Amino acid sequence: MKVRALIALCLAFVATEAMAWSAHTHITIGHIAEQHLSTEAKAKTHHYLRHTLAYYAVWQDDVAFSKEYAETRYWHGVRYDAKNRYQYREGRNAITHIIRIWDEMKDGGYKKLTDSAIVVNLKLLIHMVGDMHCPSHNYYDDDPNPRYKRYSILVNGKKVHWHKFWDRSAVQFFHKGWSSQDYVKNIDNLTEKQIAKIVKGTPEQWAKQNGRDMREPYRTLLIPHVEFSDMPEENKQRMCEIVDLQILRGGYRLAHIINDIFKY
Amino acid sequence: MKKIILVLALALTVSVANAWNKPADEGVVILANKHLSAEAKSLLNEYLGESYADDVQYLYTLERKKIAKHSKEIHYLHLDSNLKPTKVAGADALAGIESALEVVRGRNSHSKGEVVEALRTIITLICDMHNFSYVRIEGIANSQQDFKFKCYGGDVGKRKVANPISWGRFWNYYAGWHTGFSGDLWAEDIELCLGARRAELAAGGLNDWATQIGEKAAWLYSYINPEYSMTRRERNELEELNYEMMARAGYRLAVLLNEVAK
Repeated sequence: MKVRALIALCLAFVATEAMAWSAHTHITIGHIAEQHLSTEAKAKTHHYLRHTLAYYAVWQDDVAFSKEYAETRYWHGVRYDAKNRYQYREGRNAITHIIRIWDEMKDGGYKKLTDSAIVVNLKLLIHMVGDMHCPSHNYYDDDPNPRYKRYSILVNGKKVHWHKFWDRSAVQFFHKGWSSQDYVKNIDNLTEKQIAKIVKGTPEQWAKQNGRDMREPYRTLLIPHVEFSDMPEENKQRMCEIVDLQILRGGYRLAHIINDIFKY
Repeated sequence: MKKIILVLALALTVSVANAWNKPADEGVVILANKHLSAEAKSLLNEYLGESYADDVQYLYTLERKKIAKHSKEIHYLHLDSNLKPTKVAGADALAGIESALEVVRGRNSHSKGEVVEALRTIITLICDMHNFSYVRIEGIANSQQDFKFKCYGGDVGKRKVANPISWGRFWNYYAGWHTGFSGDLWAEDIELCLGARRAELAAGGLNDWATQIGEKAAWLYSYINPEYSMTRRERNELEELNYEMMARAGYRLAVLLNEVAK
């Protein structure tokens, strides 16, 4: 029993450090966020980063295996309990650090930080806000079929793990060939009112919403060991809707946080 | 035996179908477009239209279709041991750019097709010559053919493994890491990052640029060789240099087109 618990624990840690959305999707989220920055926030972000948000969208993946940022490997995902409350797990989750950085930088707090600390915080936010919206980076402690009992689907006869499927879903399955610019053109067309509704609340509340909403793709939409093209059209349609919505949520919320930080 | 050597030689030749990758090369042209004079814009519009997607791949497309009349060496910048360009006609990027510029300058005595071909050649080769995998320097053996060295994925955990990567692929890696960037986004980002240094990056003429690229390439070749293992940090740091080369390519392309459109 002890051995089984130990294995489960080890596997849980391994899986939380897995990389999330594909680079392409992270870049898309950064690019969408960039379109929704206030003039002030855009100027300040560019001043500190000397690049667009999209450029640093995968920075956290890039440094995950450096000594300096090794701990950030555990900040790519979120675990939930049965009530969809995110689990702290000694700070090894994305939400805790989104909240921490936002708190530290808002209300003029960023002015007390060094430029390099501001840059690192921004780079982390860009990635973590994207990651918390990735379906395969929401994990459930109460799930009867835990993720470490991984299953695959088939794509052209080849096994594709469900985690990889969701990470690459947007670019590989639903909108093949789209650049981040194409996403902006085609899906970033919500009204101000709709965007306001998405960004309303706190990261805890966004996490709770994700925790609730991501149970569907996590549990029911992908049919294990079935060829993707043979899956019901309504499943595919629903998966595409979910992925598009998560990309938009990530982009709008990232812009919202940065706008709030650089309000003062 | 000869056959085996030929196959090996072909395998070692860089076989990438762009300087960086298609959107990144397109970004270089869009970046140049931001700094074109009205005459140059009108020249490009007249001959190439508004999309550059096909233009950045022009010479490669001819090669893929097996209708190219040029040698593959045309993609390479050839320098002597003093880093002066050797400009072998038909087999050198700089020579290719110079003869294409002549066609554009004398566009009234050439067919539209010839001018289009010349402009596309300039665009393709200006990107190529700014990519270090397309620099050949006399006396530096590793610059004469593609070679592999090792690159660490990280310095802790499961990525603390050094995997082989070819010199050609290495200089494509950065553009690949930003997959999903459109040409417009590349141009926007490069401008944001290096726009303030535009005058400095575009200063000089074709021969100066060639020597300058050669100096940086020689420095890279001086320590990156088949025995070398690069850390992840080093690889990340070299991205700045690669980015600077993309910016140089864009700003210098604008200089050339502005000059030739006068």
